[in-house]
Amino acid sequence: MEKLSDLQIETIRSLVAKHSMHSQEMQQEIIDYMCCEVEELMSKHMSFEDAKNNTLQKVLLDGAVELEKNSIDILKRKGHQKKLIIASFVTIGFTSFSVILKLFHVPASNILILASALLLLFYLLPMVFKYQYLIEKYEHSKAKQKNIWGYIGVSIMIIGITCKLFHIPATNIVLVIGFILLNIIYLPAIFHKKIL
Amino acid sequence: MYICSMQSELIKGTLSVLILKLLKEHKKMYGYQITQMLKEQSNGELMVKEGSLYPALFKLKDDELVETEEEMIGKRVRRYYRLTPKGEIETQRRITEIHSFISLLQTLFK
Repeated sequence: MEKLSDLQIETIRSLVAKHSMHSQEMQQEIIDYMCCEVEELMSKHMSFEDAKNNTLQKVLLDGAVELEKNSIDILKRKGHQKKLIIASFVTIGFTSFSVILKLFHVPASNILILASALLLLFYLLPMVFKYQYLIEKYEHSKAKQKNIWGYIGVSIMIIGITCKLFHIPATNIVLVIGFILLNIIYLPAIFHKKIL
Repeated sequence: MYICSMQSELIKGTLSVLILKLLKEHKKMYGYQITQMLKEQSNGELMVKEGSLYPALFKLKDDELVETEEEMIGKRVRRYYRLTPKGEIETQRRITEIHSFISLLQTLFK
């Protein structure tokens, strides 16, 4: 069977690279798979260009969604899941510790409460909603929108609760807005996919 | 013809056993070779798409049933898959299981 030249392999590599695959392992596998397929077609007297276009259509265009759905996201989710577990332990542990100190009016507990709120807002919550989005994005066409609303709703609630702990006036309005977003938009959207 | 893709859940469920069986018979194989071998052994009836093959291989690797070995073919990397000792035991178990299941189905669909 005819072997591809380095230049031809490079052409296929650049085609695969355009289809942003997040896993290098998968990218290498697809390059080798496509090269094998092209070599197979060329052994049946097809030109490199035709064989390349034929394989490109089959693997990267027609098969892209399936490939991505089946594998890349599995890898992404797997990596993300570990980070999420660690983030949850760190953030929830730190937040619980801060709340306990605040309940006992320990000095400097306010700073810890503020740090906990920041951790929740910018570390744990984005991870939770991104993970949720990765799981849902193929089953639910508006998964992104739903999770953004969820993130906004929960963020407002956290800001509201933090402000309430510091006895800042008018925080009730923030909490009400948070409740409305969660109860009217996000929660119904979890159970009824047509809502968002 | 059966095309093993996302839609064909029936074939997809047995794909990992088919891969394990092939690896048991051929010691080490790469992705494309596995698809071609399955096509050949099924007389062209079974077409395994790369979208189903690689996730199955990654899963087997994740479960430590197969291990990989890389080889440079010109400027590209070729990854060979081979059974681990755990994989060899599991292959035998799954093949036995699938034989029993086929017998059961044959009894049920008589």
